[in-house]
Amino acid sequence: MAQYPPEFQAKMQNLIHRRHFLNDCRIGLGGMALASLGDTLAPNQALAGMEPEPFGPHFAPKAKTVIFLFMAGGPSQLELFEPKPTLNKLAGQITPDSFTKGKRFAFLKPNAKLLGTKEKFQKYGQCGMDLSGHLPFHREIVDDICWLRGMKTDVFNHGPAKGFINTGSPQFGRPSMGSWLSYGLGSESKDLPAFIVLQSGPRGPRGGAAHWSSGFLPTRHQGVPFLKGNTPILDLAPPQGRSRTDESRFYETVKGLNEIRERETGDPEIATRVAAYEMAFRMQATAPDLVDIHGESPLTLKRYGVESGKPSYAMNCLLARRLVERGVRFIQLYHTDWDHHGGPLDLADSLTKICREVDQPTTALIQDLKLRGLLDSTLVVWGGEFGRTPMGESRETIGRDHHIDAYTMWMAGGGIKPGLLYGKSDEIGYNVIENQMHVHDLQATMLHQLGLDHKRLTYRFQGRDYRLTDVHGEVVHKILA
Amino acid sequence: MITHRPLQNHLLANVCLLGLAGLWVHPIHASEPQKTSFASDIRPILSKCITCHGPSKQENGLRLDNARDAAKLKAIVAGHASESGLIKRVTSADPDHRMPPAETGNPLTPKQVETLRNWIDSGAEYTPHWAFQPITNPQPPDIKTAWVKNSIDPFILSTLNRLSLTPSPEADKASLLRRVSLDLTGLPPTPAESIAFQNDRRPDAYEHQVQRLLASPHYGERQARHWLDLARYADSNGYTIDGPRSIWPWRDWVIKALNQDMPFDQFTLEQLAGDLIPNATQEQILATGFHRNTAFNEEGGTDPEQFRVERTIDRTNTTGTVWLGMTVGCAQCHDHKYDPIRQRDYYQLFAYFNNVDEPKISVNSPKVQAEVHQLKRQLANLETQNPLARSPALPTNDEINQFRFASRNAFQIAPVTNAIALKASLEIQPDQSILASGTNAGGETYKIQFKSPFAKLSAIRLETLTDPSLPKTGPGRGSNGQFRLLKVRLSQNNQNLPLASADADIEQTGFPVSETIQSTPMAKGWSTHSGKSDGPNQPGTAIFRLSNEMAVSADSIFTLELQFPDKPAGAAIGKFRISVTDAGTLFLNLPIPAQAIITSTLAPLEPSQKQAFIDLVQLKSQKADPKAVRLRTLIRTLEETTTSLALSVPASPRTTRILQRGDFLQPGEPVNANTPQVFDHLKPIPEKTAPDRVQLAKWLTRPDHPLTSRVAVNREWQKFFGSGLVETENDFGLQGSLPTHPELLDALASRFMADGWSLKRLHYLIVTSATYRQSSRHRPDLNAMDPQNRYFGRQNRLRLDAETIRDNALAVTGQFAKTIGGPPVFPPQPAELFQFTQSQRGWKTSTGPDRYRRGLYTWIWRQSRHPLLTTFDAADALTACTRRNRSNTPIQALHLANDPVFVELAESWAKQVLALDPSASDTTRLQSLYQASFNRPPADPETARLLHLISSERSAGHSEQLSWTTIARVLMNTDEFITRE
Repeated sequence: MAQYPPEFQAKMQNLIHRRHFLNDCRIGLGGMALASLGDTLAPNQALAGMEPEPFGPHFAPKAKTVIFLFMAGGPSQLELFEPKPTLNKLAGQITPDSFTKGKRFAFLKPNAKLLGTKEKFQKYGQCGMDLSGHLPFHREIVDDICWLRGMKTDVFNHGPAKGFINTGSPQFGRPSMGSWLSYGLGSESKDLPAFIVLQSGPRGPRGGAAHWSSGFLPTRHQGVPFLKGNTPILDLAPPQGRSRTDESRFYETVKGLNEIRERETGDPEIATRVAAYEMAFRMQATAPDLVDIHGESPLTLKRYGVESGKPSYAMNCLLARRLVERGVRFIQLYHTDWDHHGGPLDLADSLTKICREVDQPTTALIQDLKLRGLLDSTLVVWGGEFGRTPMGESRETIGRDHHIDAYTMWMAGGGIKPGLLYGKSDEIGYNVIENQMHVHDLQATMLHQLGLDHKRLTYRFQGRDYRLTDVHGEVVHKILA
Repeated sequence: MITHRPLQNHLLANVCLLGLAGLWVHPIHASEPQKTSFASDIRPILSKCITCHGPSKQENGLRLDNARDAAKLKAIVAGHASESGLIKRVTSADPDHRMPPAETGNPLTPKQVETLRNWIDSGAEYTPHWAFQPITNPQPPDIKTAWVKNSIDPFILSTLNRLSLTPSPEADKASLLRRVSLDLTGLPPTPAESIAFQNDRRPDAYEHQVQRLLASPHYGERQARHWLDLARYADSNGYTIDGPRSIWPWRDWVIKALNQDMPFDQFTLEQLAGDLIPNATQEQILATGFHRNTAFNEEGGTDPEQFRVERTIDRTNTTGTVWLGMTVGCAQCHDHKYDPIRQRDYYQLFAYFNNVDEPKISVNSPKVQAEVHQLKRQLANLETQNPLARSPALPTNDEINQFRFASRNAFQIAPVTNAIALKASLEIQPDQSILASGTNAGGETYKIQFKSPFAKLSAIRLETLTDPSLPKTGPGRGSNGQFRLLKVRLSQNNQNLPLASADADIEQTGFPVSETIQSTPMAKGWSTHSGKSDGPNQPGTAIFRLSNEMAVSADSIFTLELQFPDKPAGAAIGKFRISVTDAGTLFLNLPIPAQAIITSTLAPLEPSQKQAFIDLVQLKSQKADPKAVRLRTLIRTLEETTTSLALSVPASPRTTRILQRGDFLQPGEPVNANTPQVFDHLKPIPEKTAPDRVQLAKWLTRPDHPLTSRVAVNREWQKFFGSGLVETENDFGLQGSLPTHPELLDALASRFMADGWSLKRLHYLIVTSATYRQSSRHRPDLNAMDPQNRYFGRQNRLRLDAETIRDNALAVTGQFAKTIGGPPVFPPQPAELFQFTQSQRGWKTSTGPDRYRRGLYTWIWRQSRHPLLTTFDAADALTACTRRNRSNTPIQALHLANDPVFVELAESWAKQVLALDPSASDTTRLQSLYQASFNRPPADPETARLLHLISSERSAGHSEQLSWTTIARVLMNTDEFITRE
């Protein structure tokens, strides 16, 4: 070290320490954390020249934010989006061998009989998308959407399949998409975490916290599940009897003692903790405001279908927009349960019920984002962990089993071509015959829209460089605007 | 695939570019002339080629990972870089010709080309991978300074010297005691322990403290938690259903073993193969719970074989990580791309774990064991006093013939006249059985009308049958072929015929057939399900006896009504058959399987049939004595109170096959259990030839094994410094980092074995070294040269692990419950937590001292872990966790500041401080809080801050209790409180 001039040494040491600090507080990488150190550099400038290609974006992004509307359980594409006259004609017959050979199902036997649909479809919009009567509101947004009718996944049980689309692997323990984005891009919000999970429906999604886990990535990237009701984040409320002024004294003193200790020990990790406490204090102020929707116009509430004070998918759609406005990177809504094997309600009745919960708020969300000029920079994704079989499954009533070889999802905004019908399945909806989009392709494309190369967004763990798309995935350029 | 390294490596790479490369990559040679090192310079460059030209793939027949193959196509001509094909290709001007191909996006830099050239010119020597070389026993460098305390220190000091760095001075006594207490026992020193240490003027006062801590029963608790991380311990099954499991007795076994300092080779043997040790004790079988910590999928519609294979894969990979420090899992689908592990090696290792069964075992505390012993004595007394309570003498031949005579009139199939169901369609088959199809809904009821060929009716037999049309062949219509028969009613002309008893040959625990004739509305009904998702798939038989024998006329029609529950829906019987009998009590008293034996043939019974018959009859009569039955039930219940999960060997061994592309549906060539080929020089095992888990355990802990001891001591080092001597503690393979102190690593590894694999001796050695005792203060000179402190010029400040954060807070605030071991507990947690899981989990918040048990004992639901654990980076219980993250988030801040558990602790702490001495000054109180928290008095600026706060609290009108609670909360929220310095 002796050969370098002292000012160079000091500068380098400073850079190393700053690096450490930035690394550990990307969750709050807004101006605040840096300002508290008296730094006027933008974060990327501070890092310039320090890293060859570590964090994204790798190239100019089209979207800043993702809203993933996760329809947990697997919606039936055949009742919602895919008219199949041949399937209706063959209804009641055993599926031709050519389709089922070598295939496995969760509950069905391969000789199950094909099930036609009772739904009546009509084409809507300029794109001529087929919709059944279950989604009347969606008719208004068909031309804002890119319809992915050739989806394909690898796993047919709920938990592993949800893991697959969230983390790229059916095994639990890998980082989920939101964590990868937080790791790759950091957060734009100084008051809120980068990855937030909202949930509605009768129960939680199967697999639970694993779906928003940061896996082997540092936990600051994990999804923060918001809770229903007025306390959206655990332990957000101060202890009983403590006002905000009281608590500001508390936080001020904690900060003071931490700063004394930082001077004493020289450990930059303490500065990270000081920043974390500042963000915590701000979250206490902003998070309740986030869920307080009094400022929304009655018309907005009506369009979403929000009933005041009642947790619902509609409320979560509205919250999603408010989170987008606050710069949250990845917002995931789970709505259960779409697993229609043929329960007490038959397929049509189950869908009527759940579509009534989902159709209107989803439409309102797309329209609201568009109206506010946010849709261009927000990538909205809708779909489940898989679709449903062309064959019927007889339980209490007739339903459909899990189908992984052809189903439908959609994307909107974020630089995706609107009003595009992409992908096609065969005449009974069994296999994709044109423009297949594998889950890994979907993931690669999503990352691409956020300015990340899925092959370069990697993290080394247990001796291997892991990525969201495992060793697969292609960006589907045909659907990009 | 490899595009960039994690952050630290970038940082490292950049520092290298700034000209410190020599110091960084080979500090040992810093003062010597630059020499190209194969391991640190060449291998990273060649690894760009190895993916296509390595062990798993040889494009164009070229392989570059060893000297012999690399020479074959003149790719590398030792001594002549310019003649080497490799250099020609990497420097080719033709983009189509140049390697690596442009599309990999991973070109060689001119500097890397130069490095390759130099290496080839100087002989292209391939040095073997360090971690596969025998462990040596290097002597410490001959450095004598006052700083050096034991044999570790000269290694550390000589490296620091070469970097022109100095070590840090010893930490002050207070920090040191808090550090070593937290590291060894996970608890802070008590004020009394601190005072004793401060006043102890002996030169080895610190060593005395270390001895005390190593002997503390809390040592085993703290060290066990590290091991539980590796074992992926949890109290639930994981996946989506995440049902509870009882495996905590294994956790207690670990605590005990570590407290007793069980040698690591024995620790390994008992956990991998305790069940196979000759005359294995209950404890040794219990130890095999290590590999029962795998997750278990209970989801409906899954393939049991698929998840059995998943568990075996998990066991194989975990073994690789924990003992070999290698990512063997990479070879599951193909030969390992970098390490010399072939796919065949993987499945040979897999084969050791493929031959296991997964029993639940009964494990009792000495207290319960004594109780069981006592009850067994009572039973023996009872049997002595009353011979009838015992199993009767063997039935004589006459008696057997009597049974056979009685059986003449055994059951005959009843002719069915009508079969209707509320929802399903029922079809009478030619063999008079009835098959259900169509709607499969809750609230189902079947009504079957039938006749009897006998003149009397004494009992009805209901056979539940399998059929290929039913889920998993039935006999029920549930998704696993199960059914739940809620109620059985027999009538004639709408006249109810009361039933006296019901017996069945198969009953799921908790669902006895006797429930079906109860009038209670809470009855759960009869099920023959095994309780596992692989279904019963076997027929069952139930016999219902009428309270009064009925006379039967030719036109008598009976109606049997079978009711099924609303929930679970769709669990009606799928196929069944009704038989009737007029047999008397002599026959009907026989157990059902005995009835089957005796009615199976008119010929004399075979000896084996006779024996089986006798056994069955004895079993039944034992049950008949009510007092003895009660005692036997009690004994059985107690024996089943505490269970754990263990390994055993299946009756018929499974053949292991290589699974192509890792897919269990594509089994390939069969393989035998064996150790990886790269370690062939360590074969054969002299004392054992049969490849079993004992062999594997003994092989792993052979003194000449190059990995196990190194991997273990590196992980132990990491416990005390935050990072290992090999930074990639989970990868000692070719892609892992090189040891910063290879000689120290070997010295520790060989010493560990020489000391009889004693962890306590190893810990003593580490924590009494001057290296460990250094201050953790950052120093500008160290930060500049070694920002990550890889060379240990100081100690590291380490944020406490999740459980230790809790334990420390409990101890500091005086609430800590000392009990060691036992079932997991349920400290308070927010009720909102379960909103996000599929099932609403039971969380009956513990009361009394159980609220204040160590974090180690908190119940772990894999899918909804306690928020303390998720917030502070506890192991996820899904894969072996060799090192925890230490994140630093606002969510953690909220947890410590506002979580009711911590606020409650602050309140009670404040109460204690106020009760201490009513006249004490604020400063005195602060001092006592500081002493308890940090084992030191507050510095003046700290006192000033806190005095300012207390006066603001008072001016805000808060009570003394609330004001001091706030002070307590402040201390509990400082970085120092959750950091071991």
